[in-house]
Amino acid sequence: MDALSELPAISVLLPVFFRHVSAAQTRLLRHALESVVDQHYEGALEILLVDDGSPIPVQTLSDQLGPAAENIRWLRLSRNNGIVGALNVGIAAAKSPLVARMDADDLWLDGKLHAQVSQFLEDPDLTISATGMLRVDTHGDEIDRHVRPGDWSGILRFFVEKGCPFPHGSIVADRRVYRALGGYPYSATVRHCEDYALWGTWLRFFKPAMVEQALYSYRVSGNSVSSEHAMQQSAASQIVLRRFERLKLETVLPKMLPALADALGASLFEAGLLAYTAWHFRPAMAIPEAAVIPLGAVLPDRVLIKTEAAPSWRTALEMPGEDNRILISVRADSLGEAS
Amino acid sequence: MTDKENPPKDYGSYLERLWNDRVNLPAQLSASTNFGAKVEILRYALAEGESEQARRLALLAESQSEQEKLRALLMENESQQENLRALLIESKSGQGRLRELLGESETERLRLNAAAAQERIICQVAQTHAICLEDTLTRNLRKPWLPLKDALNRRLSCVAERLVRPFSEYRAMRFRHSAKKRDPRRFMSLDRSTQIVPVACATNEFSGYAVQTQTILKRYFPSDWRNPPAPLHMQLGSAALVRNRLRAAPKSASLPLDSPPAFSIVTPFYSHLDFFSDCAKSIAAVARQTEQPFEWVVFNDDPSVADDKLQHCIPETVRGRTRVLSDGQNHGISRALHFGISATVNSWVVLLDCDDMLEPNALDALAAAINTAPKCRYFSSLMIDIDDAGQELRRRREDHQFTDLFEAGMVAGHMIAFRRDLYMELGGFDPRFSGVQDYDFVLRAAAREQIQRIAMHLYRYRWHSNTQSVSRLDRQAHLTNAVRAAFLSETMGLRPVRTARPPLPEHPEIFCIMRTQGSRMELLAAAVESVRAQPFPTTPCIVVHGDRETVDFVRRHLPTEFGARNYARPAILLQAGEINRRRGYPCNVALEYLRAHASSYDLLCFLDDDDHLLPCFAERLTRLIRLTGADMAYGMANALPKNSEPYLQHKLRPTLSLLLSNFIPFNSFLVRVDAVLETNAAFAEDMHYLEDQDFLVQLFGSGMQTALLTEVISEYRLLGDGNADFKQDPDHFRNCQRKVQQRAKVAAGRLSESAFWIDVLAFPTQDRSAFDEVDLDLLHKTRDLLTGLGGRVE
Repeated sequence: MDALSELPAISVLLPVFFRHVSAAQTRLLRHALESVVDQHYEGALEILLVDDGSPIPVQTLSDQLGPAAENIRWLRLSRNNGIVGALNVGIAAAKSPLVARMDADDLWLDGKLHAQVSQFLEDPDLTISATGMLRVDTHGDEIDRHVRPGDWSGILRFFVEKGCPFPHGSIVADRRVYRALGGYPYSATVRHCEDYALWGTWLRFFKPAMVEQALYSYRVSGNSVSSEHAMQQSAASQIVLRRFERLKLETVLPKMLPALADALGASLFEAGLLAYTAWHFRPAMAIPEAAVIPLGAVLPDRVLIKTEAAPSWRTALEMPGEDNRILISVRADSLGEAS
Repeated sequence: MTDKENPPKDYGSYLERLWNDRVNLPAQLSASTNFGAKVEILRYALAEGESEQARRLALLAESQSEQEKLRALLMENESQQENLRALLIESKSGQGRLRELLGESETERLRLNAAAAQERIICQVAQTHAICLEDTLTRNLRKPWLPLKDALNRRLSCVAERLVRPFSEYRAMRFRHSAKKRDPRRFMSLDRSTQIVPVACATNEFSGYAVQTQTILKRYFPSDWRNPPAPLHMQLGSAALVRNRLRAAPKSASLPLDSPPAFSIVTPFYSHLDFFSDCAKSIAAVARQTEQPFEWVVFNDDPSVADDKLQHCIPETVRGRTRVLSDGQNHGISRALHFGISATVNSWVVLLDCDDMLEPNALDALAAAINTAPKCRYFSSLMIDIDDAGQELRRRREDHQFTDLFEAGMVAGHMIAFRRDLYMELGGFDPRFSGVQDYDFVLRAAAREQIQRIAMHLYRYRWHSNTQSVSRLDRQAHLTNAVRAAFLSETMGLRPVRTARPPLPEHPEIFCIMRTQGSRMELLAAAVESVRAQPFPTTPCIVVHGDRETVDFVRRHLPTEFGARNYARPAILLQAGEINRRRGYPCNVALEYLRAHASSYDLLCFLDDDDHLLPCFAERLTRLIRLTGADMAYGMANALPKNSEPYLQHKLRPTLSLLLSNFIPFNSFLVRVDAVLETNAAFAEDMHYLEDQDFLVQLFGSGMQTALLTEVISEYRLLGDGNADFKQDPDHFRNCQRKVQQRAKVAAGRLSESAFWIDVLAFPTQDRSAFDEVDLDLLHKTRDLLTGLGGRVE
């Protein structure tokens, strides 16, 4: 954190859809933007405001957003795509290696970015960091605080036992993982819990951490997305939860994903990417013999079928270089079991 | 009173003394007086004494009478005592009898308890059977009244259809549709695999064996654990395929051994130090009985237990032929077995778990079996289930043939004995399946050559309390299914063979055929915009199904699309001018254009003017094609109703089920241009409905390799007639259905039976919700169609 060059650049992704222009919403947006700027982040930071087809372009309000508006990179969609579309357009447009999420009516509290970027600097394997949350009502008065366990296993256990561990507006995440996973899912079945669905996949393959402090202020409002579609959100969340719970990965992943990385001679991110690719796209690929067991352990809902000679895992992941060890060609097939 | 109280005892001597003293008369007179007085006194005293005596005698008499009375009482008492003694004796004998009775009643109670326990177990067995029956009934006939109700409704709908037909074709069509939906058969059994694949199982009788089995289940299995449902391929009858394969396994072609068999017993040790002594003692018992040459190799896979401790458990008599190996690490069961077997020197390997026991006659029986079948290279035996204390729980029966191995699970062990050359040929135990490695091994062995079972109990298998947790059992079930999937794919060869095609370029050129009649220009603009948003170079090919004027209308409304000024790949505008031809016609016009410019494009997709691609469409599907080498990739699509939330109208299914019913929306697949043109597939131009399914059936019938993506990559609006439940032209719709059915039959005839199984095995069942009756029925019909079983095509 000493040298400016060491700090990773961050794109703050802020999707906005103003059905109507109102003083209250504009004020909240200004406060949100100010809370970002007030982090005094010394690295490169852009605020990527995705206007999701608001009838009146949000950019027209820029003079009312205070000096923080100077940091905004504006992105406007010609029609309203919904939150998933807006977020994915933002991720595609983000230039920084780290993407931070922010909502138009929420606030970052002092020290948030500093704490999270410190985690990234200390742990090069980290792909996502979130913080605890302070919930406030429409008047800004505190309702309660939520601080979740910060370690890998603790986060997985929380995911299985309680639910979504990450307050969405608090996360700072690796853009590479966002893109590898195809961004937030468009599926109608996970509508209104698209973030939870994404974390359900993310946490299966990539290392998370949390700052065990409430550094994000979430405004609970009557017309927020979550409130309007609470039931649908709950049903969809249950599907995600059950699928994750069934895997029993809470203690396996923190042990076996590093073992897979060791066997591959790759980073933890690359090991996760390999496991995700094998699981989701089910290609045949050649991996080192020592990687078969840890990959199998990370994919309990698949069976590694031996196939005819297939391209090397490095080719599949579009990674430069060749693996000159003796490789075994496998494909992660279905067990045939019902979900 | 003293004299009275003490009268002289000898009056005679007293008077003689007085006579001798008579000389002294005065004195004697005095003395006589005195004497007289004394005599008087004495008389008085005598009288008194007599009176006293009489009184005393009376008292004595009284006392005697009293004594008599007491004696009588005593006698009486004694007689009573006798009585009591008699009674006591009697009561003692009664007590004995009571004790006997008590003993008897206790015995009776125990007997009744045992009977009650047995009854309970029988009741549990009955309950289990009832649950099975209920389950079967539920599966076969979900809600029995529904078919009746449906049959009635169907009949009524048919009658109503005939009644209203003269007045309203639309109403008649609705009734007909309703009648069709009310097919009672939709509630009938879909689990035809059980009919096709009868699995030999334990008899239903409430035998002692069943009771013993229930006891084991009750003692060692969590009450909340349920055997998970069979994998999809088994629900569709894959077990029959495997059974045929195992039945057809040849006899071993290997040569019998030159020398008499010698055995290496291999024991991987982990954790069960407390039972290892029993294990070692059983080896000592074998050694005492047998003349067969053998060694015992123990591989210590537990770093927390020193080799010395194991040595200490081994009886002196077998230490000479035992080796304890270890490298101080934990390798898991498969590798531990591998290390142990690698260290053996004899031709036959016998596996013995460290908590189990061999029967003393195990090696003799095995040697005899080898002598009888010298070419057989794998023998198993029956086993005895024992508990922690070594008490026998059950003696296993020969419930399953080895040909049932696939569906019945591991029924070829323990004991497990095989020749080392077989082990080497099969590549040993597979560490992918650690935990069920023996099941994988024996499946492969049984597919390779015939294996045998010795019909004797040669092995004691120990059940442990509190070791069968739900998660452990689930894991075991998953691994078993993993072995099955691997067996079908690797041993049975049910895996896709990809056509070798040149790899796609880094930025593939995509040709997107968009048909329009120029009627929804704002939607067409949005559709084109979604094409432009793709990260790969994509050329929209807009085919206007209409006259010249319509074409100009479209051109005017999309002013920026057709010039090279705005886009590197301007849209292509084609005209499909023959209005009378149906919806497939404009697609054919575009395909002709594509054929003429095939070298310019790598991938093809379709898009109707009211639908759109999501930004991830091209990137994700192209990645899938690249990674899997498939010719075509497809994903899921959200349906967008006019006035409600989006939803997934079509769930993913194994691809070939499309032959019977379409589930791949028109705008949710991407296919290699070279593969499409190779098939010469074309759209039917006389079909207003199902022309997209008809086209895909042609592609699949030509053996096109597909890959599916469990992601939503496009969306379509529920506007047109094609997606509606009630078609505007129902007669034509039925015609279209018939045409597609014919096409599907032709396509199925060109595909092999294994294509169906490969397709089912490749389907990621865990990534979608469970298959319901309708889905399964469709898959059964697809199987029948492809395997030539003459399934009804609808």
